[in-house]
Amino acid sequence: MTVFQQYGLLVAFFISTVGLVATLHLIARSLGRNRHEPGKDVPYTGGTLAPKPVWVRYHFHYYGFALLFLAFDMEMAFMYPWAVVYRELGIAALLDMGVFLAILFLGILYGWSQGALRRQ
Amino acid sequence: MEPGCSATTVREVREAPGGWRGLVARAMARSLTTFVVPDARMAREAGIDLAAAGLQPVATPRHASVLLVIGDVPPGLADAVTVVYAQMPRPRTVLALGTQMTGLLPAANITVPLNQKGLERGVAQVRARISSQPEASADDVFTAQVLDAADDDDGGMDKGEMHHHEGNDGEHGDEDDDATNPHAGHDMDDSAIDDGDGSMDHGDMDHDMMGGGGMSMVSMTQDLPRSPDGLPMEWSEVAFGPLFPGLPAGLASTLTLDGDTVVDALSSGAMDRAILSSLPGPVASFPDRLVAVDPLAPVAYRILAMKALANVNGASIFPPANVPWVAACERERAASHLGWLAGFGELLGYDWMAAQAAALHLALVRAPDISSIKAIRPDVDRFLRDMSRNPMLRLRLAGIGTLDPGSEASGPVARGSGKRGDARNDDHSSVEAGFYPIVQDAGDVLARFRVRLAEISLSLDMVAGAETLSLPDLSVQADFRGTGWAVVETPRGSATLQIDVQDGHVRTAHVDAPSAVHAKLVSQVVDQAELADALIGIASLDLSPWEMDG
Amino acid sequence: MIVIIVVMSLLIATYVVAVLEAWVATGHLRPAGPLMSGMALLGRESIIPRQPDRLFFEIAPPLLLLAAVGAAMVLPLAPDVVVIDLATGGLFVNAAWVYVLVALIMAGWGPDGAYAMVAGWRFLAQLVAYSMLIVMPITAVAMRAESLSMTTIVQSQVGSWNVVTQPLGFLLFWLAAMAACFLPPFDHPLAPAEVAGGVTAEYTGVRLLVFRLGRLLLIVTLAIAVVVFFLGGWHGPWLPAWAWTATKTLAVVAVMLVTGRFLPRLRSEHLMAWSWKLGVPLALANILWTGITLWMVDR
Repeated sequence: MTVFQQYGLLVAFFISTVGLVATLHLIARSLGRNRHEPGKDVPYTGGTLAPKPVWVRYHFHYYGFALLFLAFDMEMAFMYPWAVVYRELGIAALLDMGVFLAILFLGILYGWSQGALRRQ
Repeated sequence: MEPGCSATTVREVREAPGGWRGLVARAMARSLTTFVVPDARMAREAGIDLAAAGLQPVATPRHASVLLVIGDVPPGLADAVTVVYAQMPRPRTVLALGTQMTGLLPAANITVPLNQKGLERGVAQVRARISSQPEASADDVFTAQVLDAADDDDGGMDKGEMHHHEGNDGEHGDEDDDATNPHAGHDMDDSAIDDGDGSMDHGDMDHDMMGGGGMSMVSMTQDLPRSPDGLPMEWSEVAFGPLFPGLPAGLASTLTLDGDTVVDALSSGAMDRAILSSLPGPVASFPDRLVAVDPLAPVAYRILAMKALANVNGASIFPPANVPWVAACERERAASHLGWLAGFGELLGYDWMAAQAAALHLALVRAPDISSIKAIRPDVDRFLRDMSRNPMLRLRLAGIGTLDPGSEASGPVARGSGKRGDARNDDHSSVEAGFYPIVQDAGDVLARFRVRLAEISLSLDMVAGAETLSLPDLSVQADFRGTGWAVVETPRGSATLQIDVQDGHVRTAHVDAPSAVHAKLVSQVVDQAELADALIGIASLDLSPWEMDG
Repeated sequence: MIVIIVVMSLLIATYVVAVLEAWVATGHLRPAGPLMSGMALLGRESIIPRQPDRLFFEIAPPLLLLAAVGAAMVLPLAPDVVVIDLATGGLFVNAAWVYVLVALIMAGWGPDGAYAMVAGWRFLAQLVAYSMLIVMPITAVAMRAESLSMTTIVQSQVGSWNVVTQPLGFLLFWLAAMAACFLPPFDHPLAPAEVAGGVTAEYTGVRLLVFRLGRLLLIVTLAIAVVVFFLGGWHGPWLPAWAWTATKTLAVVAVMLVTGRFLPRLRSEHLMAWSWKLGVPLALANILWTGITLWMVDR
């Protein structure tokens, strides 16, 4: 299969999955329409009527970890091609990548020592 | 519809729908999910096994098809039940056990007595109802006064700690762009400069606008609350209201959340039964009235009433052979702790622990006499051993929910923080039956957990040494008068009762219940805790909202 | 033809996983259980919360399903039984799984409900914890196979499975796979007693059905990935290839479900701390270990 055919098949699968979901929605709709009643659409908060919007500037407490994650994610983008050709290149490749990994690992250690690796 | 049928007959005819709809209706009848009111613990206290009856409890009414009401709904929960019912998707059924739900919305569709057989009959009736009528007919829209506030469409700008920034979503058209909060400021900047309407809209809100457009992050965020790490973020007040799955039913809590950290919590009893005003009355029926104060600890409150009456005028007319009441009290303590463990296990997400504790709780509640309690003792011991040795629990619970109970706290809450106070210390018959106070020093959730585990074992030992579980009868003369005082160690802590008796009537009765004191410790327990840890801390106080009525 | 076989196998696997999950949770084996609950969900109303983010609310359940379908497309069930044998299969499957995060955050933000929102953001924390532990073991496995193509990765395990040569990678990938499909003890986004159903709290009817279907398929794809990357794929003595894949996958799922029952939910801070202080260094050590052992083998 050529690459085009492969991705074409993938797109076809996605479209048919969406079609499946749409079919389920149609079946559900044919079984009975929703009935709007007061209070039905208020989000559940344990028996009280929830106040209106909950969209706030959310405080995510693990941003120290998230920054490290970004750094490592970029590193993994480099590691994928390296991994595939590693056996051809031999031990020198391990040393090269090892230096890269060690530098990033020092980043983890630095963050750890500075208290970034905890719930803020 | 056949010709000649009157309109009323057509509406009342329940025919099983055929074909596709019938199939779905039968499927709905076979997979029943239920939201339990007040909560699953009350179901077990009544000796009911939900799973054996074919009902699967769920955590939110949105996933439920049956609303299971157990016992009379307290007045304070009536609104909550209405709201919860309104939030259930159709088709939905209300199955009431042991209550007629008079005067309440929603009305019960099916009413059965409060026992396992009644529940099974009720479930069969629910199944028949659902398979024959899968969709409620078009004209019975469920409305109630408390729900009318839900349709109020004012945009909600006046919400507690909520700040003006929430207006961004509606007014700048970046509803979908929520992930880029840091840019919200810049967007506001641009649109404030670009269109004059923007600045006029902002004028309605309460922050300073410098001139027509220059808005800095400093001025935008200067009114926002600051978290411990210094960031200005918006806090929200969330109700973990009376009917929340992880907390005891009837405990209306409002938690102020900073992200997923709980900054503050306020818990209050929502039962609103005004039970204390119903206590005065004839002496002979006084224990029955006092038992209604806390359905989760009826034996302890009955003993409290009897002891107070017996201690009127300092004379002790309580029967001398009083070991039986020790056994009943301790059996209730063990059952209460097991019931608490089951709910605690669910909160921890520890399904195995929750299932085992629930099974043991049910077995202990249903056990008719001491020999059957002895029969389940090996299972209980094995469970307790597994729990106390469990390293995962130790890891999970250590160090959270640390509190300083103060002088008024009692029960496992106080004994988990090193205080040896226990009403049974001074009680001769308890000490003879083998009581000793179980104390842990750490003051955190793990300590209270361990205290309760050890108390289960101790209580069952005390029960095993007794002869009968029944309470002695109370005999009182007709011209009985004076004041009496008594204290009893309920499973949650020490409860005291002060009564004034004249002419065979109780004139005044004053009850100090442990949960009312412990509810004040909630804000200590949740201070800057993550949401899960905060809920575990509140649950570790083992509050009984029934006792927290005014 | 192959496509039909793969689709049928995945559907059957999803159904069996649903039955297993109910069995582990309730102790009763009900073979018709998922079918009944599925049809029941179709018959119930699909409520839309007031003032939702409609786009997010509608997209989230199908997106979860699409993420699982995307991952399933590149997973080989037997030699030549794979829908698309992408040369970059290992990378693609990780990219597909990341959309689970997008779906859950949309599900958390969309309904404008407090519990759902907290649960959605908790899953973000979980992803920051487990994501490296998925990617790094895949890299080590690709080193041995010299390719990211899933079929080649399975074929490289002819002599010895990767679970034997890279045990550390296997363990980390296993745990990260459990976190990626938010099975207990990593079920923060769905915790019933803490956030009342979490991201699924406001979904009812057909949307809930699609969400649950997506989650089950996700569990299946993660289990197949564990088998493909570490447990030798379809290799095994007497049974045909597809039977081995099926057996191993179901065994993986069963062990995951059962261990979840016997562990309390992990605290978020513990999950993050252990993953970054212990997990990532171990994963890096695993890569180093693989590099050295491969070099020694190739000499």
